[in-house]
Amino acid sequence: MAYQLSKAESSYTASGLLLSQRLDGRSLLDYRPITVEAGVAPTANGSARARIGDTEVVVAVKLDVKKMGEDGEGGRCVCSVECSPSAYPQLDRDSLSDLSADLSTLLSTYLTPIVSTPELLIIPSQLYWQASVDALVLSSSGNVHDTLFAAVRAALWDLRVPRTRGVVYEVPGGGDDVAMGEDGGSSVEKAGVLDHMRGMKRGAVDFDLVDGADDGTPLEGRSDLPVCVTLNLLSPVFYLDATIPEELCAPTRLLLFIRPSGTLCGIHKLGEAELPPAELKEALQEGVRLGKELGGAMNARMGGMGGKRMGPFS
Amino acid sequence: MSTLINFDRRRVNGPEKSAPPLYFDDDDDDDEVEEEDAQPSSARPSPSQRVGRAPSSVRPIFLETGLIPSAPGSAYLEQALTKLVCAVYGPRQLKSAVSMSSERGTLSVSLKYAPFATPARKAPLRDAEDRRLSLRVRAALAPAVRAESFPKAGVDVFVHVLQGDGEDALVCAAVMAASAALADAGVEMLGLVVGCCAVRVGLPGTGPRWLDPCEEEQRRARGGVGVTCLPALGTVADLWQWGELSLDEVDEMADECRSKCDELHHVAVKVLLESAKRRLGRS
Amino acid sequence: MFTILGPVASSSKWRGSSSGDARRREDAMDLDYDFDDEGVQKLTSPGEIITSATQFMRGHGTFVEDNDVVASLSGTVERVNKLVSVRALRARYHGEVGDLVVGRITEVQAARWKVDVNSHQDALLRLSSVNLPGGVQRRKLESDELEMRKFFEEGDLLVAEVQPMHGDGALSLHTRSLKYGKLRNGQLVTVSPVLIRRRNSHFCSLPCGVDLILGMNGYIWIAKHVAENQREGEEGFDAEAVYSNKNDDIDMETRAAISRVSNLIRVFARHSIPLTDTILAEAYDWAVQQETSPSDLLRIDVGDSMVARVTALA
Repeated sequence: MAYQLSKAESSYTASGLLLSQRLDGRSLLDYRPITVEAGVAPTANGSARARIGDTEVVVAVKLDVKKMGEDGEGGRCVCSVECSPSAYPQLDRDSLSDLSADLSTLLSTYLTPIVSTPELLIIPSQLYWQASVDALVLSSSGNVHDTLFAAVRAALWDLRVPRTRGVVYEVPGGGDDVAMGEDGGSSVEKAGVLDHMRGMKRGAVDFDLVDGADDGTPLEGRSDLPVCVTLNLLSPVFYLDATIPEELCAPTRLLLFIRPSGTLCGIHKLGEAELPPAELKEALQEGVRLGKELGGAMNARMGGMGGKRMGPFS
Repeated sequence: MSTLINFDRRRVNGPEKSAPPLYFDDDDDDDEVEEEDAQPSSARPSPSQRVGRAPSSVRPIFLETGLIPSAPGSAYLEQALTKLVCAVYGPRQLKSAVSMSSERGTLSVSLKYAPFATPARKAPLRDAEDRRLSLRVRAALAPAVRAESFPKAGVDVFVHVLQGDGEDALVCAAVMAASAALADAGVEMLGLVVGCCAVRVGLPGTGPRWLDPCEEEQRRARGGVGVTCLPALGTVADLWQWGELSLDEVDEMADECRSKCDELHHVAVKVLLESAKRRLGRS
Repeated sequence: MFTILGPVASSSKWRGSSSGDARRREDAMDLDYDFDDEGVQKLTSPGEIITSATQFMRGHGTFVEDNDVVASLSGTVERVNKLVSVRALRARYHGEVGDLVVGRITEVQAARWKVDVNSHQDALLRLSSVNLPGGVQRRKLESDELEMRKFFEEGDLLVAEVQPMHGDGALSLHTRSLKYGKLRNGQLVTVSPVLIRRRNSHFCSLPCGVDLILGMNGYIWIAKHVAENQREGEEGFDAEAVYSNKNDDIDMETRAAISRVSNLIRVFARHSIPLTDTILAEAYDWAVQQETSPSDLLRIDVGDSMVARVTALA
C-alpha cells in the first residue's frame, strides 16, 4: 500500500506550489538544511552520512582487490542501495526490493563511469581495486535521490586508496634485470625487486602495501565529483528538494547529475508524464546553475572538515 | 560446466558461441561491404571520423505491424543489426487487488534480450539491465498512452530483442516498435512515440556529434543524449543523458534528435497507414 | 542558498542515567516520593521492578512477577490511587473510547472503510456510522453502499471519534456529528501520540486564522479557519459540501500561517514538548516578532531558540 494523499491535500499542495508557497514555507528553489558527515564507518575505506530534512542515507565504500576480466576493462564499481523497511514502512517486501533495485541500477549507471579512474589500478591490465559502494536509506521524507548522491559524493571524498607498489619476481641468478637496475640493487632481496606501481612497470606481477600508509591517497578529482539535483516539474513551475507530498504532486521529475565545473554527467527522468518542452530548457539551465552551487557548497564544507578523516565521535 | 548447470531445457537456447557468416567474394569490394554495414573495422582513418555514414544519418528502418497472429497488436522492427519483436496484450483485467481502486490503467513494459542477442551469451534470467531498459521504454510510452481510458485494467508490452547494436539506439527502436504495436492493438494514445539518440566523441567542445550510434560508436563516445517524443503533439516524453557533456551540447543534441524524430514519425505513420489499408482490403 | 552542516550531537531529552543492577529490590521506587506533584516523573525500562504488588495494582505497561509490579515498557510511571501504569515515551496510538482522532482511509470494503489512525490495526468506519446525505439520521440504503467512494475514498483524511472497539482490538470510529467528517483546506503533520494530551476540546482556533485539530493519535490537521456560522451543514445537511474534495480559495497569508504553525509543531515534536493551543499561539507570536520567515524554523538553531524562549515563558 503506497503512500496516498487525499484529493484535497494534493490540490492544496499543488496550488501552493503554483503560488510559490510551499507546505513548509520554503521558496521553490530552497533546500532543507543539509547535513553531511564523513568517516562514519571505521571499517570502510570511505564512508559518509548525509541528511536532507528527515531523509537520511549512509554510504560506505570498500575496496577489494580484483583480477582484470578477459575484456581488460572489468567493472571497477559495484553499487547497491538498500532501502530499509524503516524508511518505507508502508511498502511491502516486493515493492521495497524493486525500489532498492531501481536505486541500485541508477547509482551504478551514473557512478561507474565516474569511479572507474586509473587511480584504482594496482597493476595495469592485471589487478585493480574494485570499489563497492553500499548505500543504506535509513529514513525517507522525500528527495531520496539527492540525499543518496550527496552521501555517495561525501563517501568518495572520504575514500582513501591504499598506497601500493608493484613486486617483480626475479629469476634467481638471472643477473641484472631492468627493474633491478632501477632500484639500485642495494636492498634487493633474492626473491624480488620492488618498484613503484605508478611507474607502470610491465613486469610487476604482485603488489605490496606500503608500510605506514594507513591513510592512503584520496581520489584525485574528488572536488569535481558530481552532485544530483532533482527538478520536480509541475508545469509551469519547477521546485527542488520536494517532501513526500510535494513529490506526489510532481507529474515528472528530472534527475540531473552535475559536476561543480558545470559538466552534465547524466539526466534521468522519473514519473509518468511528459516533459513540458517550453520550460525544459530554462529548468535545465537553472538546474545546472544550482548544481554547481550545491557542489561548490559541498566542496567548501568537506574542505573545511580538513584533510584528515573525521571520526564519528570526534 | 557452468553453462550446463544453467541449461534450461524449456527455453530455446541459442548456440553457445556465434560467429558471423563468412562470405567468399571474388570481388575485391570487401571493404565497401564492411563500410556499408558500419561494422567496426580495426583500421580507422581517424577516431573522430565516422566510418561509412554521415554524422547525422539514421540507419534505415524496416517496420511492420501485425506479425504475431496471437497478439492483439505486434510489430517487428529492423534497423541495420538491431532486430526486435514487440507484442502488446490488453487492456485486460489485472489480478492484483491494489489496482482495483485506481482510475487509471497500468502500463507494463518488459524488454528482454534473447540469449543470443549479443556476442556474449546472455543467460535467460531476469537481470538488472533488462529492467533498466524496460523502465526507459516505459517512461517513453507512459505519457502517450491514455491510461484513463482503461481503468482497473492493464496493458502489457513485451519487447524481445533478437539482436542488439547500441543500447540507446535499441531503446529508441523499441519505443518506435512498441508505439506502433500499441496503435496496432487499438490502445488509445495521444500520439505515436518515436525516439532518437546521439553521441558526442572527442574532446569537449570540438568533437562531432553522431546520430543513431551503433555499439562501437557508443563505446567510444564521450557522452550521449536520447530523446523520445510525440512529434504529433510536439511534446517530449523522455530525455536522458550519460557521459560528460556541457549543457549547450546537451541542448544542441536534444534539438537535433527532436528534429530527426519528426522524420522518423513519418516512417511510423506510413507503416501504420499501409497496414491499415491492407486490413481494409482484406476484410 | 544551500546550508550544509557538519555532524550534530543528538539532542535527546531522554538520555538515560546509568544505574546499577536494575532488578535489585532496593531500586524499587518509593512511590509516594515519586508521585509528588511537583516532582520529576520517574522513568523505567522494561523489566525494572516498580513496586510491590501487594500494595498496588498493575495497570497498562506493567506485569506482576514474584509479588512485584514490573514495568514492561520504557516510559514514565503513572499512578491513579492504587493503580500503577507505565506510559511509553514513544508508542503507537492506543485507542480509547471517546478519543478524537484524525485518520486516513486505506481501503474501501463492503459497507465499511479501513482507516489508518497510527494504531496497531487499521480502524473501522462503518457506513452506518457516517452522516448520509439527505437526512441527519436515517438508515443506510443499498444505493449508499454502491457509492461509498463518493463519501470517502482511499487517501482521504477525516476526523472522527473512537467508539467501543471490536473484539480483535481494532478501533471503530464514527463521524455522526457535524463537527466530524472529511478534512479540507490544509495540511497534515504527524507527531508522536504521546505529545497530544487529552483535553476538553481538540478543535482549536489560533488567533492567526488557523484551525487546528489535534488528533489523539498524533495526526494533526492544520487548516484555514472557518467561521462557526459558515460551517457546512449547519442548516440542513449538505452532502455535496461535506464530502467535497475541493479546497476553498486560500490567500497567501493564511498559507504562510499554516506553514508556520506546521513548522512550529515539528520543532516542538523534535523537542518532545506536549502540544497545546496556548504554547502554539505563544510560539507563533514569537516567530512573528522575530520576523522569521516560516522556512527559517526548519533551521535547528532557530528552532532551539524558539523552544528555549517559549518554555521559559511557560
